Amino acid sequence: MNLKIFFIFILTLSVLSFLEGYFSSPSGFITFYAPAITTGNTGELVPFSLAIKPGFGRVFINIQNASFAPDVQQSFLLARRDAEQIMNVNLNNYDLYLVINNNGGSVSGESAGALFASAIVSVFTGKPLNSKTEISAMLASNNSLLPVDGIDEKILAAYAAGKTRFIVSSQQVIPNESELPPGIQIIKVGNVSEAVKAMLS
Amino acid sequence: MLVIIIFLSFLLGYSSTTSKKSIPQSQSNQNCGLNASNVKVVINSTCNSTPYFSNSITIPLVAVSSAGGGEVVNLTITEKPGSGKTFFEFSLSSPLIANETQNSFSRAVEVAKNFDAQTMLNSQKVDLYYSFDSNVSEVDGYSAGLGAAVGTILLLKNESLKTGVGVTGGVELNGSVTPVGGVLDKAQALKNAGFTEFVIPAGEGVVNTTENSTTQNCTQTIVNGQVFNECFTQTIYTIVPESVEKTVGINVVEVSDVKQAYAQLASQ
Repeated sequence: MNLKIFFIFILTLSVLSFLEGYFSSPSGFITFYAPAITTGNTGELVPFSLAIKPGFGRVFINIQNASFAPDVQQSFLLARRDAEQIMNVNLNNYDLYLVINNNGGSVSGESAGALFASAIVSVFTGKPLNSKTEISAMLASNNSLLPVDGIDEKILAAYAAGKTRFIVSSQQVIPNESELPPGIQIIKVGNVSEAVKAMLS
Repeated sequence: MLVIIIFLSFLLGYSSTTSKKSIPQSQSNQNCGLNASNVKVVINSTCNSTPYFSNSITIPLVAVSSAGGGEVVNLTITEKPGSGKTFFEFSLSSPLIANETQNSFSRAVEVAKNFDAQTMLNSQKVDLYYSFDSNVSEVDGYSAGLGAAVGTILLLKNESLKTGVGVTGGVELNGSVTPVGGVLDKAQALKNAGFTEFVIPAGEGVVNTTENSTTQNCTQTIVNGQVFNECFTQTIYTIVPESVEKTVGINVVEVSDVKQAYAQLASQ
């Protein structure tokens, strides 16, 4: 009889500890920088962090420091789908937490899509993002990458931050490519898997 | 067998994190024991302790769709042990959230934290999660702000929402409630969904509707023995103040600040 009560006690404890894993806040964020264009039309690197935790296939954005325009949310959902395909895993048993770390008013646009996909793969697999590499490309529905606006300013901002490689879509036109500093190498890739591979190498 | 292995692996994975945490303050205050009631397992926050697991509250809000007509949208707020962060959920099955709505929620969270000493203290120990349960593709506007503020206050104070009540309204950082419009459609949507009370911004309980009436005016003129009939139609537009409460048949309560809204929406 006592053994039975003990067993139930242990079972309850284990269920509670199991639930706490699911219902606690995330830890283990990685930080990455998305090239962006400010309203003043200069380039800058916007810091984001991401964590992944066992969960229910949800995505959370932290709204304390800035608001995320619906197109950013949409691009993040696309990135999640592409990351699932690249890793051949299903993220329905995980929750993703996206935080923006600067005190900006709002973030908009889809140009961080390929970076979001790389960050998701990085967190999930534990392989770090290459700290010298930047990327700015939109995700398309067929896994290819689309060009983005303000690419020259973004490359200059990445160069100023000490990056040595910049990945863009193979369709990207760089208006002032010849005037860019030689210290940063431009890499054109055709699809999201190549982009993620380059970001993690 | 596989299930047992999976279960054990979870057990191993999480026991390391839980074992470091003793149940906070459980001896220091008789109200602070583990409190298990239906799905939520919390430590009674009247003793300002950290919730041991997550705890959530659902607030019925009403949206007006671009096609017209109101729709009841449930907002679920969850607190988890944390450090005062605020998260919004979006997924393939929940709507995207417009910037304006995110900003209104940021204000709502600040208002809730600054509501009283208890909400201030408890807000520092939890992370707050907001999610909409709706089929719409995008949530826009700021009219969920008041519901978000009061819901957060109730959650942080471990109190519950009165049943059968819905809420709409914007909220400013100083706690004042701002008008939102569409109250008549929203009241109707709540009424249709079986709600009995609607908390709205002050001054919005009476809606001005326009009624038009057409009259035909004819004049007869006789010139040199000939009869001329001249007729014209006249449309008169009248602005008719319409009570939302009477029109819809739902108990309407106007509030001008968060304190009044809290007093009205808290159960007990």
